[in-house]
Amino acid sequence: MRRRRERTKEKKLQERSQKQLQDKVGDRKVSADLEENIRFISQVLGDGADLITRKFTIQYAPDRQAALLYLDGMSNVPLLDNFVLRPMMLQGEQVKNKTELWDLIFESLLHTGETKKQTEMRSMVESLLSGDAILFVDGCTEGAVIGAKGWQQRGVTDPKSESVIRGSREGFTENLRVNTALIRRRLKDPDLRMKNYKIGVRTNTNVSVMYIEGVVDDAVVKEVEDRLKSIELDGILESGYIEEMIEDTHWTPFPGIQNTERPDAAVANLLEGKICILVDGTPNVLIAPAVFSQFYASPEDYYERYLIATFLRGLRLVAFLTALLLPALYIAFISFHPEMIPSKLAIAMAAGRASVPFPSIVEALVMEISVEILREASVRLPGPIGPTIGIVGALVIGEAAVSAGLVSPLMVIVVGMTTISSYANPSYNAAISVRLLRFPFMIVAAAFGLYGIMMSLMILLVHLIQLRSFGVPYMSPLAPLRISDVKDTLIRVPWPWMKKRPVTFRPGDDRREGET
Amino acid sequence: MDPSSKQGKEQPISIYQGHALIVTTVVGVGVLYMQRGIAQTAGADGIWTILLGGLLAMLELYILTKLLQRFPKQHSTVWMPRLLGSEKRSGVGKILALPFFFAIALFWISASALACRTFGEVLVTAIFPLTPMSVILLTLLVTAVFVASTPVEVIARFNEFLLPVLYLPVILIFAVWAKEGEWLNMLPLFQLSWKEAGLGILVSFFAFSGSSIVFAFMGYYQQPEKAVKAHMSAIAVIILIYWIVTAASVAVFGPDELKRLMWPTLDLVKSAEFPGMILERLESGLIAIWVVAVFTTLVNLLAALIDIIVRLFRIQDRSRKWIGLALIPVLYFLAIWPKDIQDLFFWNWIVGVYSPLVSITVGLILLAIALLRRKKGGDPHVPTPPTS
Amino acid sequence: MFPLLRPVRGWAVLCMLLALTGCWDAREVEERTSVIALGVDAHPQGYEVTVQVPNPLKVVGSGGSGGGGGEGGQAAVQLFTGVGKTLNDAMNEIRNQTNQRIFFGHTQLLMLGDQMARKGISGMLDALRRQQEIRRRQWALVVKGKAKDAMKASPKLEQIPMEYMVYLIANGVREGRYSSEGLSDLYSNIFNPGKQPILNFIEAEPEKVRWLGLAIMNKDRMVGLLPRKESQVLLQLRDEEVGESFNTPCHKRGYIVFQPQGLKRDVRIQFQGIRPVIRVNVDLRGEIVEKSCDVDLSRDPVIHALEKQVRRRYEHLAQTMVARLQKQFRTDACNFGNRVRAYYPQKWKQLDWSEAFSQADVRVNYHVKILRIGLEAK
Repeated sequence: MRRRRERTKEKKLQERSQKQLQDKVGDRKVSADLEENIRFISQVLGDGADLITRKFTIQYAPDRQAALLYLDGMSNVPLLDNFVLRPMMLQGEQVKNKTELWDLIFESLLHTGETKKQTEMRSMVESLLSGDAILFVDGCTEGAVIGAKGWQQRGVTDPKSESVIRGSREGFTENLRVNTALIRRRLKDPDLRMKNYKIGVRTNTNVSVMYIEGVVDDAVVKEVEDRLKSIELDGILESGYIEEMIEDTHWTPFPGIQNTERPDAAVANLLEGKICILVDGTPNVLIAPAVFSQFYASPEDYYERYLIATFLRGLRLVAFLTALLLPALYIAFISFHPEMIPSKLAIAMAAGRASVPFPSIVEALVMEISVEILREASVRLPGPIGPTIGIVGALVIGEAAVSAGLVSPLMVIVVGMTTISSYANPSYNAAISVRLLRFPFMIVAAAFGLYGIMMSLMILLVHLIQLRSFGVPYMSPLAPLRISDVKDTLIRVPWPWMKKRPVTFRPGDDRREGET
Repeated sequence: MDPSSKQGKEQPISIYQGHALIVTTVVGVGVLYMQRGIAQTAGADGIWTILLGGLLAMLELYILTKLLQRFPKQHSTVWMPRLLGSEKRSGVGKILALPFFFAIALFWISASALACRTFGEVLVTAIFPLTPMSVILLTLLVTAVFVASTPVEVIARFNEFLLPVLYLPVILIFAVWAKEGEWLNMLPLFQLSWKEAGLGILVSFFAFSGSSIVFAFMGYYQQPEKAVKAHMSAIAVIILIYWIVTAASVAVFGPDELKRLMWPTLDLVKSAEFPGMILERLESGLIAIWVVAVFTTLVNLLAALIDIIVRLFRIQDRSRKWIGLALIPVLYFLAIWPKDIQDLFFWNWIVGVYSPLVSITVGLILLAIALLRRKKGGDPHVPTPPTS
Repeated sequence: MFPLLRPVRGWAVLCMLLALTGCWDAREVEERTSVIALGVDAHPQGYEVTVQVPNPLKVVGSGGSGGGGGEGGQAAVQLFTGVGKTLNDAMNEIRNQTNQRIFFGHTQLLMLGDQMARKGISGMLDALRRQQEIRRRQWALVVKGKAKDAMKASPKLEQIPMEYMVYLIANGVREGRYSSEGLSDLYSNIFNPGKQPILNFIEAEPEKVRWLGLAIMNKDRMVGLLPRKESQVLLQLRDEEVGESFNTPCHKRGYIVFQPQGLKRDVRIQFQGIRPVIRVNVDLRGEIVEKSCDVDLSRDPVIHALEKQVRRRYEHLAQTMVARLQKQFRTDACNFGNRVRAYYPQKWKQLDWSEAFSQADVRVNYHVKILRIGLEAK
């Protein structure tokens, strides 16, 4: 951590990511010779097959050639055709002076909103690569960058991994701008800050950091920015790259940063004084800092009645413990503490296990691993047959395994309960860590029974308590206890009682009401 | 990476964490058997001797708190040499302070080793009759040392988080009392002679050992001025827990059977039956939950020990875990020292007597010196040297 | 520090633990011979211990390897018997017969042969108290004849014979007819100087199990059997249980039957010198469940007369029962001694209670209130 922060200071992201281009382009300026400009661009891009170069004559000045360059598929072609090429090629009246023409183009011939004059070749190439069109006119030492980003993209659809019954159906898309707009639309606050970074030496991925000035803890913003700037990687393809590059520690199965596909969840977190990191190319937005309890809260908790939400949170806690401990408890009860099971059940269990040739730990490990395989396979399976195979796997194989005497019927129930419980967790990345931790618990239970389980829980607890996410203790507000914040952890109180923001995230302005 | 150096700023112990530290340290393996000793000395009158014993424990902690409040936000290893030595030669003070530290640390190390062994005995009798004691001791010790060598703030939060867990078995025991207890078993009261009553109060008092950890932790308090309230409420909670356990045992078994039970609390839970119980017998479950109580005692005592060693010898904070590792053989040796279970209870008794003895003696001596030399903690704004 | 070592260390510990699994105390549930009922008889050598062990595969509903209907009665269990000078000695003989470790964690019923109970059970109880596996919460019964033979009973309604007996007792306890005292109460009653244990006494025939009354114990030794009707009164005096329905002859020919439903008992103890004077008031409320004589129950005077009649019958029975306790058994099964111990500690120290009790002046007063007369209006 320390080393990383030291590195942060010496280098700046912008310099580094542009170094690559620098090597090729240098600080070359736009030349007055049109052909030379075109040649240069196509050379920089290595005669890219998707580079479209449209040369044309401007109707105003028939002696003057011009060229529009854009990358096929990255730009909005109808826009360029109708509002760039058509006016230039069709609108008459001649103009003599060179500079006059260049001004005229900007004054009346370019019918697009986002246009910019540019002399640096380097930034022109950058714009070209990010989907804008560039325009050169013969005899001008300036080029124009025309904002025409318009590639094929998925529309705003349901968030797949975080569906709710009540609440917005919009989910983030792969487009950074659409995503920032989705947030802005919900948060019309002039204090909403958005800072852009380009991360990834080669991918030049756009990354936006959003927060509400005055609500957020400035130290955390600085920490996030420092860590973002320190990233040295050639490519950022998903927010997961960023997550791992900036998290506090790698030696934990628990996520230190939350991610969401839901704009409403992102806004709710911004309002709590957290920071959103949006990465171009992925619908998963990062939220930092994160604490343990928020992985067990669903956006819906805040939309449904508070009593129901509180009940659901309790239920999720039970599901969490079930997913983590049930197989371990099964092993502990079967092989260490059968006296704790009601006698009738114990007899039934003994009968069920009588034909099983393995000790319970092997039985449980085999079943749990098979279910994990099944789960993994059902993600890969082609859509329509996925559920079918799931049912076949779970029911048919389970049933067959029982009648073949490989596993006991109770084990099948245990595995089923465990699997289903782990799906009750609203956030996938926290659920997956529980799946991983289940196995050590099973092994410990097989060695020391309930005592072993408790000892491992102690170790797990101390690990969780040690963790921090951007300086915020991971188990807060439970340890350290902040009574005022418990209102939104295990329980959710009605909204009128939540007039203060959680102090856990040290907000600059802790009152929710009475602000402008 | 060392966890302690992860974040720069040291977060001192909050007032509630201080409360939790006291409760979890004092409440430990003793709850599994202390009613027997009380019943043996005081019979049914243990119901009230435990309250008076608790008041003595309150007094003990009050002395310590008052002493430590004179030196707010200063670690014992900082103020004690200054108090004992002269301003100029700090070395003298340090040497003079050493015996005090040694006396307190001796309690910490022996109490943690014995708690470990006692719980090991419980495990062997109740769940693991065939597992070697060494394996049980080592698993307990290694895990406890692993936890105890984390930074002080983590220890504080750990205790804070686990404090409610301690209440669960107490609620269960209360339920057993309500269901199985007999009013007549708690009578007749006040049958003791003055001598017997005094002995009964003392025996009850000795069950409250462990509050001397404030020597290590109070220097980290955010608001030492509020410590009296936190500490007194902690002892009050402990008295309540002990009282429920003792009174429930007396009410359910009667003093005469109680005297004969090796681990009365386990038998208490064995007598529990509630309609619709998913688990038929709860004693293994109780032991499993009681791991928490024993474990927090162990961790807190060891953490105090490690903290004092680290501070006293100016060892780098990162080496806490190495000190912890070095302590394991010592602890293990002390834990296997008692020959048999009778010997173990004998040593438990000795340590139980030693604990209040040493904290009251040390507390009073230092308080007297502080009053005589009119010394108070210097500038309260000077924090203890941060650990990282 | 080598950061990569961190997970490696964790996994190394886990692998070591994996090697430890199944060591020492790990015993799968099917690798234990779970004793569900324990019978102890007196034997010329010392003890004769019989244990009842269910065969899980033969118990219906446990499925197993697709096997359909299970078997019940003695087919579902196996009995093992061992003889020895001490209880553990006898157990060892059983251990030598079983294929798996014998496990007492599920024992729910302790049956004592009446010979055994009369001989004294403290030695045997000591063996049970030292064992962690033995439940405190289990039924303890005295059996007419030998416990070994009672184990062989095979009532048809439950699969496991032990369960039949357990439910028989549990149901009777719920209805307030039997003593609710199990092993745990037996322990504390034996050690409490002011109390005496009582145990349910049953008789078991090959296909029939029957509750006969209460075994009156003087500490660890059974001193006699209190017959059914008197047992009901004892339960009323001792535990505030209502007891079973109660026949009372009418003033004309025939009977009416009174079913007690609620009860309040109040014990007052005073001393005349050293002679305890014990007054017990029992407030009994209930209904008429049967009438075979010709009286009109809708009339108040009749009801009052009947209440008086019932009351007199109860008092008579109670007096007989107390006299039997005082003279025949010389045992304070009503636990009056516990009150003396609690409220008159000085007197308690002076007295030899078992002597004082047999000399005590005990009078039981009943107050009977008939609340309802059932669905018949007359």
